[in-house]
Amino acid sequence: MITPEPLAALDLTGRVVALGVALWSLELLAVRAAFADGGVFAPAVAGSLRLGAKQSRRPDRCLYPALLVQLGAGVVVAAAGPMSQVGRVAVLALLIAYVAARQRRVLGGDGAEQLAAIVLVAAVLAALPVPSSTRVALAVGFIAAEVGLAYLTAGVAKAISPMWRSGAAIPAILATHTHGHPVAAALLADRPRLSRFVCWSVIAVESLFPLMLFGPTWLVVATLTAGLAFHAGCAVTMGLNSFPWSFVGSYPCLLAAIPLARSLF
Amino acid sequence: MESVWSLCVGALFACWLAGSVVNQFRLGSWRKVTAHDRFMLLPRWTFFAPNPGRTDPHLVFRDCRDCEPGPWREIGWAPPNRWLWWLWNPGRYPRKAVSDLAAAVMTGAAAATGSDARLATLSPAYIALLQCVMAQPGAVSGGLRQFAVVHSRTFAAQRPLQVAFVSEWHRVEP
Repeated sequence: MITPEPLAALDLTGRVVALGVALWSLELLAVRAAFADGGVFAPAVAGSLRLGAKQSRRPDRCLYPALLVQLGAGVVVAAAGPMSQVGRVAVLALLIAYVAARQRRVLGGDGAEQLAAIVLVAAVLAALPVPSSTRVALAVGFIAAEVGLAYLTAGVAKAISPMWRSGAAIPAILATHTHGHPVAAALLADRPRLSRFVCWSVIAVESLFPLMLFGPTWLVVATLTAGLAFHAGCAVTMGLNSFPWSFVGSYPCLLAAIPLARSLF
Repeated sequence: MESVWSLCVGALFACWLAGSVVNQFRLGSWRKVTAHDRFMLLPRWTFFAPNPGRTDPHLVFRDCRDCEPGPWREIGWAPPNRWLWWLWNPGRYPRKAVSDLAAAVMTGAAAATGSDARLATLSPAYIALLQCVMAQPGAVSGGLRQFAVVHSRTFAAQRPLQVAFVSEWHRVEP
């Protein structure tokens, strides 16, 4: 099977994740009222969650500059690539701004944001001061291992849940305003066999996902296609629009890690 | 020099990955480590498992004037545009934040029972929600304010509501 070179894979993953992080900064700017007094991200609220931490206005003065740097640097990294000369500086600025904004918000994070942080740190360590083949390979292997761990954990956690095994989980989630969709909820309502099939499909895809690192070409193609469809479905029906950027964006690193995984095992 | 730097990077990735693996298990002793994870770099990848949220939390509050409780008011956000939210979904941030805080408050309340029941009001999540509620407009100096977490489910117009948590009354500081 033809797999991408680690440098090309990390470059592509870095571009996609950076574009996603830039989009998230625009989303956060759109809900800036939530960062003002009375909002759920107000400085007083964030301070309450950090017992013992010194309450300071300083992080709030950093918030909007951090989000603007996140936007600008994200676009630069997406355009130039994290391994280019300009991209290396931009990806470092993007990481610093992203962490600063995340620190100020404290709440409302998700796994996609955590994976984005992992990708950005790995890209910075691989790219600075100048990219080396060893560090790029390490970064690609690390990202692939974290993504494989994420799918495996998510699948096993669902497999041991009676609610997921019975097929009740997805109809229940889709019936909520927060992560649901009336059309999808109506489709699964009163269809227990279809619901059970959908729940078990998610369990199977997530639990078996890491096998693609060791399986034949058809398994690699089938797994990544299923993963892409899964994240697209979650974005459309559940509003989980951050996950495709981080998780699907990391697929090039998964592909590039296949020879490394096979040499290890 | 490059080989030393590569060795350090490799060691960092190995430790980070090992920490990520351990973090997938709910080990009591490991919590001392995660308590110092200020940058939230140790992921926990369970995603809607084992028990996904089946309800929508709503944060409501009311004021008490002249010993008479007023009507409940909701601290809400604009509903999401479900045609566009696969790409653009800014409301997910505050909604997730309220959901996380409400879940933490209820977990604290469930754990603090009997004579320790009031300990729940000292939890960071309770204080965070209280900070949010007390900053809402309409408060009368010296008056009292109370908040509650109410759960709803389904898209039906007449949704059943369930009161999940009711706070104590808190005096509005002048």
